[in-house]
Formats: sequence, structure tokens, C-alpha cells
Amino acid sequence: MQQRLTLLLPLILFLLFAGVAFWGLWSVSTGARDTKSIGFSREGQKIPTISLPLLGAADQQLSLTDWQGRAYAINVWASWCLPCRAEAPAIARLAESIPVLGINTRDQYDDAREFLAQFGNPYTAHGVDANGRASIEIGIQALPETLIIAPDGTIILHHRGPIFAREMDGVIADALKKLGRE
Amino acid sequence: MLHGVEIGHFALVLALGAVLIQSMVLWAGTPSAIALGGRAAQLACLFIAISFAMLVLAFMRSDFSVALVAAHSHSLKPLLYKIAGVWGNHEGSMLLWVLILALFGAGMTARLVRAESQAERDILAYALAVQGLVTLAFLLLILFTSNPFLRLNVLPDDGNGLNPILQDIGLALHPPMLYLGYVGLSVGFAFAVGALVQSRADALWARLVRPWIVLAWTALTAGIALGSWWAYYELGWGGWWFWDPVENASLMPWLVATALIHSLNVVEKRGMFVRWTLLLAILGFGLSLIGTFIVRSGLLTSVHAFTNDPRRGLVILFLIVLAVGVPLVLYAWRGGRIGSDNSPDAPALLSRETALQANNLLLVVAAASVLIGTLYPLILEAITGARISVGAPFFEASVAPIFALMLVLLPMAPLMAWKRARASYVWGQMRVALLLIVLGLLGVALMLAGVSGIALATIGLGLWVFSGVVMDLFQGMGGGINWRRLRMMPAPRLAMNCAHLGVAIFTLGVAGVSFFDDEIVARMRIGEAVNLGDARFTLMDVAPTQGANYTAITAHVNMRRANRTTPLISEIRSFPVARSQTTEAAIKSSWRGDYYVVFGGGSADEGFVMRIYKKPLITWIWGGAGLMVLGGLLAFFGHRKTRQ
Repeated sequence: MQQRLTLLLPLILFLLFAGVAFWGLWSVSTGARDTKSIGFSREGQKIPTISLPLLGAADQQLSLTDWQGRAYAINVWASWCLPCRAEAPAIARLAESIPVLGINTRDQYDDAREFLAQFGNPYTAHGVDANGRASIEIGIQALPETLIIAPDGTIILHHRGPIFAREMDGVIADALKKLGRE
Repeated sequence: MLHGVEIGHFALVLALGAVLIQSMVLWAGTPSAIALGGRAAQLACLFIAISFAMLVLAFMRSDFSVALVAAHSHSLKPLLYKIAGVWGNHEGSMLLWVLILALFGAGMTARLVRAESQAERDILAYALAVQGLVTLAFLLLILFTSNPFLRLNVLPDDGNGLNPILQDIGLALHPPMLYLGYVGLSVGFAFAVGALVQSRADALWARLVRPWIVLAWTALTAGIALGSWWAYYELGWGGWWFWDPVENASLMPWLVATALIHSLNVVEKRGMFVRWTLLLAILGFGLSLIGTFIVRSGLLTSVHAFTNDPRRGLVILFLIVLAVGVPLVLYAWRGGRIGSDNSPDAPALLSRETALQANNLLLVVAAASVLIGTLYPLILEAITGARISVGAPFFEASVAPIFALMLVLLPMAPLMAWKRARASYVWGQMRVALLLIVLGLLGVALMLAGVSGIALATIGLGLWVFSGVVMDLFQGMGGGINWRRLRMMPAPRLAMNCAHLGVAIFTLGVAGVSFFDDEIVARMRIGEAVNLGDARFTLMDVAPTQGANYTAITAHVNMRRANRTTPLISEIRSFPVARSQTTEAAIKSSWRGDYYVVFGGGSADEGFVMRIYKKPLITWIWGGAGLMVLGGLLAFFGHRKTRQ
């Protein structure tokens, strides 16, 4: 009897694995779970109404629903992200034309604060995305990425990679023009 | 008129027919059935090779009427990367997978033709039949869900390009190597299922299957090392292992294959661990399938996931359930009849059998830990709906102690005799080494204040394994340095020591990188300099450059160290077609380790961001992996020599 059980054990464990894997795939294919939309441009879609704890004040929330009716930009960054440092001056320029919300992702609080002290803090408000889930939800694939959102919540620009002078005068200027701001 | 692409498609259909014959007739076991089945396996290999060649040709010619080429290639791409583009996507990589399956089938056929006894012929014929079933399943999968030869109705002007990060020689070779390993394990699987059907597995069986496992293990080692090397110098993150689900997916079969190589030894020499070995062979290939499955199903969130199609994932899952579930049912039903009747005299607690059993248990526990960590987010979400990610801290905390224990035991096992080993002998062999290591580490601890205990322990383990290799070679040469006897030493023993030496070197490399690394991030203007370790880095120039199919901003940095100046170049490349960027790190390598410079962009006014890492002994990680591969090759070719 005991030997029977030992011989059956691998099969039982494997069936458990297969069950979980089947559930995982089934829920993805019916749309209940979403692992797929990572990595596609979200331009033209509505920004998901995420809500994040504020940087430095975890009891308060940065909620994107509060921003409905206004145009704003989202910049996703982390202190360990090298190009994020390089684009800091450009983000400061961007903040002169439009409010920029920062999303600090997969980072340590002390490192983030030091980053802001060193490279400047042009952000209107700052949310913390400790495990990177919110970034995935709004379609972030790499760091840094910047989104510009129209008053009705539509993403009109989804830019991957750092912003330098060339982007400021190019895609960013175009997007701001669409919003009627320069 | 027939075009190459249609020839490729038809060849694949013909291969399906040949494989069908191969997987059906061989079960009869008669001489004529074996002749027919073998010929079918060879024909299948030929047809699949033609099919693969036609797909390569379509990529080389940039035939954008083929949907796959249009989606994954571009006319401006260098020829080498056009060819590598064949397996840089789901459909093409599945065809490569099947090609390797068929090549192994042809190799098994060659061995079957030269079989010397009826027993050998039976084992090989059954294994070849199972191999045919596996190939059949994959051919069906390709033809019905992932056909690489589909044409487009509308001809695009040019292709969509290949992800530029994949345009790299390390990555061009990494998937074929990895597939050689994954698919090689299918041979072990085929032998195991054949043995279950026959209800028979013995020393002869182990001898026949062993070279295939060694070959697969060698390729898997090389493939994983190439992938890690690529991530290190191409991604610009400065790390060599990230515990990404896909990396874990290749590590799990590697751990099981390592266990399998060791347990086959016990089956061959002592007729024990038979059932366990069958199970390992089935699980090894099962984990390979799960590995590929994770890459392409969208089941888990991973940087590697290149075709996120859950419906295709369901088909592959169905395939895995068939491929692993059926043999496990067979195992539960028939396993009891195998290996129980030939129970040899039980080994003592202190014996090589026990040592290898400990090795096997630790390796399998390590593989299970990795599997649990990889699947845990999914399991948790299934039960509670919570979404979490499991990162490096879990894997390091759970796997490192298991590895440490393994490294403690490793050098002692070869010094233990079969059946009953003497503790006094092992102690006598290793005591001098142990004393030297402890004294040496105490010396290091006194010299370098603040070095952590765990760093010292890791170095100690590396040296401990190294001592074991020295002592075993010393014993093999009759207790002295004797080159003639070293050359005469049996290949398996040399191979084992070579691979174990690789483990020692690898461990020391890991110790160097993990505990003695350093880094600095600086915003620099042209002409400014920073110091790191014993080197000084000066930013000389930043200038735009033009590559074959990209434009770049290039930073020139001079590294000055011990009165020698080395120019280093780090770039940010922009690929206009793929609309993406890559970072080329500048790496100055030596046997002592690397200096690693990453250019992060910026401007002349505000300064350029530079990140500089010191990675002591990181080259030893690749060196160690290289020695393991060399050991595998020695075992493979040495085995063939002793047989002939």
C-alpha cells in the first residue's frame, strides 16, 4: 500500500501543477487575468484609475480619479534607473508646461528621496509603486517612461525611454500642441 | 512553380508521415520492423532538415511574403542576425526544436543499427519509438498551431525587424545550445518510458542512455552560461543571474540532469536507484517542456515571454499533460516491477551510494525550491487572488544553503568506496587541505578587516572543492605527480574532476562578485575623472556614430590602472526600424575580474551620467562553466572511445 502511494506521488504532484497551470492560462484567455498587455503602447486608451500611496506619506493616496478633467503627465522612474537621472533636466522643463505626476517604482524610500534632492523635484505629486504592479497596469515596460493624458483620461502620448531635448521638441511638443499648450 | 517556402511546408508534412511510421512499427521489435522504423527516423530527420533549411533561406533572402519573415526580420539586418532571426520567434524556434528532436532520433537510429545484442536492440527500439511519439506531437503542434511557412496576401515593403537587443552573437548561439540541452533530455525521457513499457531497466540500460544525458547536460550548461553572459554584457545591468522565471526554467532541468548523471552512475555500477533514475529522466524532460511552456504561454510575467498567446499555451499544456502524465501513470502502474527484484546487499551509511544519494536529494530539493518560487505567485493568485512577485532574496535564501551543503559533500564523495567507505581514509586525504583552508581564511580575515563570515565561507567552499579535485587526481596518479598515469586515467574520472574543478572555480567567482564588488554613479563633464578601486576613469569624449542598422551616441572613457591606459567605449544605440534603444556597456576583462562602464546619456552642459562597476572574479563564473562543459565533452567522447 505504502509502495503504491510512493509510486503514485509523482503523478499526484504533477496533476496539481497541471491544474494550477490550466487555471492560470484559462483565466488569461478569458480575460479574467491580464499578463498579456504588458509591452503594448497604450496610446488612445483610457488611463486606468489607479491609486497609490504618496511618497513620504503612505497614509495618503495619489488617485488618478482626482485628476479627471485636467491634462497631466505621468513619469515613471526609480533611483536605480540610470537614464532616469539623465532625463531629469528635461522633466523639469516638461513640468513648466504641464503638471507631472511621478510614479516611483520598485525603489527604496531613502534612495528615492536622495535622488530627488540631487536631481531636482519638479513633480506635482508622487505615488509609490513598491512592487511594480501599478506600472504594469498602466502599460509600463521599461524605465523611464512618460505618458501624457488628456482631460478626458485618454493617453495621447506613451513614450518609452528617456526624454532629452530632441524628444521635448519632437513628440512631447506635438502632444502638448494637441492639448493646446506649448 | 514551387517555391522554397512551399517545399519546406510539404517536407514538414512528409516528415509527419515518416514519424508516424517510426512511432508505430518499432513496438513490434522484429528485425524488419526495426529496419523500417530506423529508416523512417532517418527520413524524418532529412525532411525536417530540408524544411528548416528552406525557412533559413527565406530569412536570408528577406522573403517578406512569408508572414514570419515579415514579422521578425528586416532587409537592413546583418546576414548573421537574419539567420539567427529564424529562432528568435515562436514558430521558427519550434521548428528548430523539432529539428534537434529528429537529429537525436537519427543518432539513436545509428546506435540501434550497431546494437550488439538482443537486449540492446530492445532498449533502443522502444526508446526510438517513444522519441518518434514526442516528435510526432511537436510536428502536429507546428503544423496546426504554429506554422512558420504561412504566406501573406499583402506584401509589405520591409520587415518589422528583430528586437535589437537580440542582435548579438551571444544570443544568436544561446537558444540553439539551450534547445540542444532541453531536447537532449527527451532522449533520456524516451529511454525511461521505453524501460517502463518493457518493465526493465538495468546496468545495460544505464550505459546506453548515459552518453545522451551527458551530451544534453553539456549543451544545457553551455546554453545557460551563454545566456547569462549575454545578459551580463548586453543588458547593461551588471548582473549575471536575475532569477527571472525563464532563467529558472532553464536552471530546473539543469539541476535534475545533474542529479540524473550522478544517479545513472549508481544504476550502472550497483544496480540501485533504478526507479528514482527513471523518475528523474521523465521529470528532466518534463521540466524542459515546462520551461519552454513558461516562455511562450503568457502564464507568468517575465522579461523573456516572447509570444504571449494563452490559447497556444493551452495546447502546449495539453501536450505536457500527455508527455508527463502518461509516463507517470505508467510509472505508478508498472514502476513497482522494476528494480525491486534485484536488491543488492545494502550499502553502509558511509559509502559512495549514500553520498550520491545525498547529492541527488539536494539537487532535486534545489530544483523543487526554484519551481515553488517560480510558481508561487500563480498558486497564491489562484487561491487568494493576491498578486505578488518572488524575487532574488527568496531564491538566494532557499537555494544557497542547499548548494553550500552540496559543496561540503562534493569533494568527499569521490574518495568514498562503493558499499562501505572508511571515514579515516577520507579524513586522511582531506585533513591537510582543511587545515590549510582554515589557516588561509583566518589570514584573509585578519588582513581584510570587515570581510563577512559568509564571504569567507564561500571562498572556503570553493577551495574545499578544489582540494578534493587535487586529491582525487593525486590518488589517480598513484599518490605522486605522474603525467603518464594522468594521461592513462579513465576518461570518466578525468571528466568528473574537470567538471568538479569548474564547480570550484565557479564558486570562487560567485564569492568575488557577490561579496567584493563595488560601483559608482557619477555625472561627468568631458575631461573629468573618477576613481574606483585601483583604477581611474576619465571621460574623454562623447560623439554620435553610425552603425550598420543603428545610430549611436558613443562615450570614450580612458581607464588608467597600474600605469597602463586602456580606452573603453560605451554606447547608447538607437535602432530606427525597431524604434528602440540598447546600451552597449564597455567591459575591461581580465582573469582578476571586470571593470564595467555604462553610459547613461546626458548633455555637455549638465554632464553625462556614467555608472562604473568593479566585478572581481566574474570571469571565473564563465571560466568555471567552461570547465564544466569541457568535463561534459570529455565524458561524452571518452565514453565513445572506451566503447569502441
